[in-house]
Amino acid sequence: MRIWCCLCFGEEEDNKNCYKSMRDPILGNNDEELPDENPAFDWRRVFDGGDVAAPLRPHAGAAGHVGVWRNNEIDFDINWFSSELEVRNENYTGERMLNVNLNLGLSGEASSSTVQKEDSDRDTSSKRPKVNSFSLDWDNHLLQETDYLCPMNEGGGDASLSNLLGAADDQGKDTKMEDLDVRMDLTDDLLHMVFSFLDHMDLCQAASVCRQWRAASSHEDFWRYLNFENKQISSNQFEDMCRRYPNATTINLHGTPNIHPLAMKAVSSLRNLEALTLGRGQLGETFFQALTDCHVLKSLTINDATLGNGIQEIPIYHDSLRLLQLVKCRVLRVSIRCPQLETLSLKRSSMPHAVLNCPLLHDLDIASCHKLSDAAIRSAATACPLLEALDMSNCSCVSDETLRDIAQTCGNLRVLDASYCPNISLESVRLVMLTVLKLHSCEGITSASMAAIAHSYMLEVLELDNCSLLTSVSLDLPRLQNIRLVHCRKFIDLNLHSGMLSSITVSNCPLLQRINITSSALKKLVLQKQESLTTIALQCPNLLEVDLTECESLTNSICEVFSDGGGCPVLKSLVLDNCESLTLAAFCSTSLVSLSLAGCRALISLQLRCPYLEQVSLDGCDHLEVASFCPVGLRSLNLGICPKMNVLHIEAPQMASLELKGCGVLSEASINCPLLTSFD
Amino acid sequence: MASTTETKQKKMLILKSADNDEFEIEESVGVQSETIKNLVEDGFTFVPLPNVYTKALIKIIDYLKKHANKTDSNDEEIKTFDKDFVNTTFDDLFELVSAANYLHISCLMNMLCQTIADRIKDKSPEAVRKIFHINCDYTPEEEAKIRKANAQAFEGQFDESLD
Repeated sequence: MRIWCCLCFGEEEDNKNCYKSMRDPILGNNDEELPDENPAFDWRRVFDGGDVAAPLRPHAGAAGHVGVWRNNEIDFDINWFSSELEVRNENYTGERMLNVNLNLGLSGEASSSTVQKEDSDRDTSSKRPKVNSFSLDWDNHLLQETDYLCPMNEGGGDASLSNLLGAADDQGKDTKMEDLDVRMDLTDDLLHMVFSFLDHMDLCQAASVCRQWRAASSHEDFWRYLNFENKQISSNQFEDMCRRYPNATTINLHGTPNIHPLAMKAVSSLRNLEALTLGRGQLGETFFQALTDCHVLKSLTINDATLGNGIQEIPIYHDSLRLLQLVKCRVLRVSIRCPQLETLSLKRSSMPHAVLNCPLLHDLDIASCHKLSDAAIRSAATACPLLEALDMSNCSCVSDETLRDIAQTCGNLRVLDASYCPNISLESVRLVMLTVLKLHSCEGITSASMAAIAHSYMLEVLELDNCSLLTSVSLDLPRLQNIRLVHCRKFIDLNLHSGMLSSITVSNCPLLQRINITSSALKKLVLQKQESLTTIALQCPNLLEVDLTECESLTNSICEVFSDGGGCPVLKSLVLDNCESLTLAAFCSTSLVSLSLAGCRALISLQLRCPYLEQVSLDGCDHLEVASFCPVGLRSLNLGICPKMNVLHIEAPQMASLELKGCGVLSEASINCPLLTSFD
Repeated sequence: MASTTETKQKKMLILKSADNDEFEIEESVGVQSETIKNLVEDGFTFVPLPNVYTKALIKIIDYLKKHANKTDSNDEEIKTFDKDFVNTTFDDLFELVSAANYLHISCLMNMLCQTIADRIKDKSPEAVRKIFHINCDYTPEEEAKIRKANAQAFEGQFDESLD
């Protein structure tokens, strides 16, 4: 009967808790009168009976004194009573138990002293939340408890009780014990909240504290995801877990010994399984047959496993599967028929054959499936008309013909990664919806391929790293935002027109000579160490920063590009460090704020007409002979580092400090700096 | 204590703790507690809190005041405050968490539960029992069994300290 009561109450616990907390503040005054009237505090009456169940009935009626509770079901009172018992349980050994016994006993004897009355008031109010504190193990537990308690109660008359009171007071523990009761009120609700912040290891550890904690820590909410990754779990242990948590939705068995029987167990016993991760080992064909019975499975990931005996065809037929990953699996042939499948990865798997029947698939990853033939790739991809993303990198046998078929059937293809596919040239491939195209290390990609790319007028990202035969790129794509050209050994000419281009990554293209960029979105252009670069043409109305460090072939004409009228009307920062071919630099710009010419050793003449220029770096320009700063916005200037300075004109209305120490051969100087305060 | 003019402008509430101390706070501060909010909506301006003792109530009012003035700019300040707030003894934490639970202040509840969880994480069962004043109700055989089951899982050393 008691178990039933507890269980029954458990389901209603939230409502009641709520109810109680709503009422308590209003009923606060009533509570104080309770202990005097409430026979529940007379423990002896309850325990002396010996039979636990028997006194419960009358008591249940008696506890109805508790105002509002009267209206509730009787179970509630029974539990309230049993929760009072728990206080004893927690303190039953030695002195503690005596102490608690005492408090409770005395409060039952009406208010003999005011102090004790207060104590009992406290007890009542503090214990009331304890209504929720019980565990399913309780029943069993209670019986043991009563055995302990009965003799105590029989032996303890009034006289011995007062003796005990004295003893407790002497040790000064009395008040502490009461506080303790308050603190102990981590009810199951609170415990549940605290436990929700613990991981599985911590929960297991918490279970070894006591029975209440074990019950709280094994709540299903915490055990929906069972992660056994790399754990040495045995079949029996796993079976036990499946039995304890039949509503688990996510299981990870990657790296466990003997995955096949565990996986079979999981699919057969967990009806709510939604996601399963397996790996390392061998999975028999029977697993894939059993899979069909796992009706709500949505995600299956198998990593680094041998499927079947390695030579048979593995059928994966499932009606609700949305995501399937067979990564690095050893298998000869897979046949996948999953009408709801949206994402499929066969990455690094070894099968030479794959048959797909997945009409809703939109994401297919067959990267590094080395053995997959051109024809197999074609038939797999063209079976998925809604495909939006295709990763076929490292599928070295893919041909242009396959790409043409894919382009025709998969009209929605937006993302294509065909990196390391040496045979493709994109000849007459029309991928009109494409937004991302990655073609790293494709030796078939040449300047002629750009004609095909030009048809992808939606293209936003283009990556052409390591395309070693590519010599020129000339594209006019209105949406292009991001282009990469790294390590293109024969690349000479870049010509881009795109209103949205915002990122250009060009590096290690040793032959690159000409760059022509038209973009209204570009804000920063970095082209370091392009040692053949000679010509730059920019029409970038929003370009703010340019860094051309170590472009050693740049000639004097570059200065026109960055002067007024050169196509960069708002350029603020220009770095031309170590451009050693520059001899005459002349900038006339109303936007330039910072200019660096450090390490331009060949520079002889510098003419700046940049009224807002605030920073200039001329470190290492030790051949500079003629310099004209008319006008500049500089506040300070040190030309002591230019020992060959001969002719100097400065017109700097803001200049406060000028240093010419070390310019020993200066023969002509005109300095117009009205605010100059320091001159060396 | 707010001056009379301010009292007129801002609605005030009186909270009464379990030890009969009374506290006056602005309504806007108090209603962060669901329990108080419900009472305020029913027209109460005097709120007895028979389950919350003065000591915890003072801390909680501090917290509510701090969090009532939350803006983007004092985000760091509140974080520091919260950190100090939970940097206290277990016993204080338990009292606070019971009070916060009773008052239904969910952000405070989360913070306190997270703190308690973090602090018991690496403790041995014995230390946890002492902290929570729990007597082990397992039989020695049961405990040995649980220990054995957990033995595989725990290789690390437990923290035996009680704070």
